[in-house]
Amino acid sequence: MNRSFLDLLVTYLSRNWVRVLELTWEHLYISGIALGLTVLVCLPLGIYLTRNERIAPYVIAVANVFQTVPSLALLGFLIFVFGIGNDNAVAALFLYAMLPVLQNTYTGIKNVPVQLTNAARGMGMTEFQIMYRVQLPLAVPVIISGIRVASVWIIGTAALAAAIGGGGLGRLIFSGLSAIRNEVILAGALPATLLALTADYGLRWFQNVVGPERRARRIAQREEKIKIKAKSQQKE
Amino acid sequence: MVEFQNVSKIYEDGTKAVDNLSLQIDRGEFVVLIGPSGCGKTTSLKMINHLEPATSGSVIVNGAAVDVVDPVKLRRNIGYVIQEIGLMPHLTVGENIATVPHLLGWARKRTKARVEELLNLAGLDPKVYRHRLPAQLSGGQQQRIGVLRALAADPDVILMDEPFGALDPITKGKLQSELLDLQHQVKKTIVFVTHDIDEALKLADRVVLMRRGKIEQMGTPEELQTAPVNDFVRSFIGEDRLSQISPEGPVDTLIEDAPLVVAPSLNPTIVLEQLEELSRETAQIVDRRGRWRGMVYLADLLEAERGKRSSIEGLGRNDRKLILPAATVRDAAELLVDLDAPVPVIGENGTLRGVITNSGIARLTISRLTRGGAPS
Repeated sequence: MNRSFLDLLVTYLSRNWVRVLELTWEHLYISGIALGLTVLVCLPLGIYLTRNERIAPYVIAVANVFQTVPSLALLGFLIFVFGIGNDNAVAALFLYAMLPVLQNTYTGIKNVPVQLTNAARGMGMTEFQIMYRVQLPLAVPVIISGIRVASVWIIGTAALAAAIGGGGLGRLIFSGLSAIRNEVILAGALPATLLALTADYGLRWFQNVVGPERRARRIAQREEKIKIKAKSQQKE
Repeated sequence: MVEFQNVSKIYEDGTKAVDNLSLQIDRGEFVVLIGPSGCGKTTSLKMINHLEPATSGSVIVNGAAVDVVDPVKLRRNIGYVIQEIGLMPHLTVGENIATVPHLLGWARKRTKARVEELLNLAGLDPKVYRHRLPAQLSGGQQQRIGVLRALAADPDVILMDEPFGALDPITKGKLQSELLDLQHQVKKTIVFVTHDIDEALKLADRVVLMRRGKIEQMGTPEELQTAPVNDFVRSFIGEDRLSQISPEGPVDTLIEDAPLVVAPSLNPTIVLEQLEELSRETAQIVDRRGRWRGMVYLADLLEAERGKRSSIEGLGRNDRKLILPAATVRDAAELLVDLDAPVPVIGENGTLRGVITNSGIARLTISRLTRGGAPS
């Protein structure tokens, strides 16, 4: 990377920063919808599979196939269903990212130690309570790491949406490729990378915040505050 | 309170886990189910809260058959403690204890007060422990919380499935004593499963010894130890107990029958003759009501004979003795070191239970040496 290249990049960005921001937003939008859809479908589906284990291997195998098909080919196939544009991109990204969320939800719940579910049942929890009070909370770290993988995949692959007439930072990358202008490719790739890293980091932070250690500390602090409040009211 | 009526459990592969079991457990009773693995003790326990349905017969809790009532309601009224402890790692200690009250929809304030009450009962400061996570506690503390969790909603019946099985011996002994204290205070009906005979004898009001799904013998710890009905019971109690004897253990196994027991009204000369016949130097005096009145020594008898006393009344010495159940093997050994004469063992109501002698201790030592092999 020589000085003239950096100059080119800085010049390009200073002239086109509004467009870069717009495309970043569009990228985020496509990825966000795809990720939201993935979680919305795969989380309940994963829970359902733990209750119907006989069909679980087949459903996971299907998700595995979608993930294995080259993403560009998947986008191409879906033109026949959704035409060209962002809808197609969202659908393709959704199918592509199903596996980690589905698989992690399923195994996360399955791996909850059986003595905990036994203890819960023995104390008189219903099957539904066992699910949402014991199994789901304990599977949260595994589920979130599945979502992290999905989010990085989705943000990375969303760049290909431009190839089938969709928007996002892929536009910059593709136009840079066809014009052989590295600074344009980089103006698209750099924000996309930053987005993926931010999403990954953000989800990891979230996982920490909802984790038991932080939660226990919050409960203790909340109670302390209530106590102090009650004392000051007594003095008045 | 809990009743098994001809209950059998046969698994799909044909194994008979429980075979025509009938057992009545009264309110406030501490019953220990014990036996080798696969004897059906845990299966029987799990039939009480209907985690294991019976194949035939019926289990009745609080007057209702468990297969008729709603299992969820049934279980919320029965405390349950398991060997793996099973505290929820994502919840605080306070929340773990409050599990069943929460399920029952108790008000927040009532639940909180109950949690603090229980933690205090177990000697754990609520301020320190309520907001801790289970992972931040020792194994012993975790199982204390497990027991408190079972007590939380004040159930009538508590089921304990080898609750102390995974703890080290010192912690285990401590928790056993705490459980006994607790039981004296709360008077619950407790059904406790273990494979450790010492634990069973220490805790139980009644021991139910099982094998192959059937009851081999049922009775108080004393009954099982003094009157085992067959070789299986004898070996199950004997072998395990001998290997576990420690200086701080109870003296029960060392007690032998007193060679000479005499009435206080007897003439010293007669007692002297009897002692001579048995070539002994001491006799135990027991009155008509069965109470121990002291131990009389050969020298005192000779002096009484010379003094022409008409009876041995008042000759018994009662300063050297062991009182059950507090006496330990170490106490016995210390008394025997000072003076080589039998040490009388006195039961709780003042009756003579027998004596302990040096040769008894020697026999115990030999059996331990041959059992344990070379010292490690």
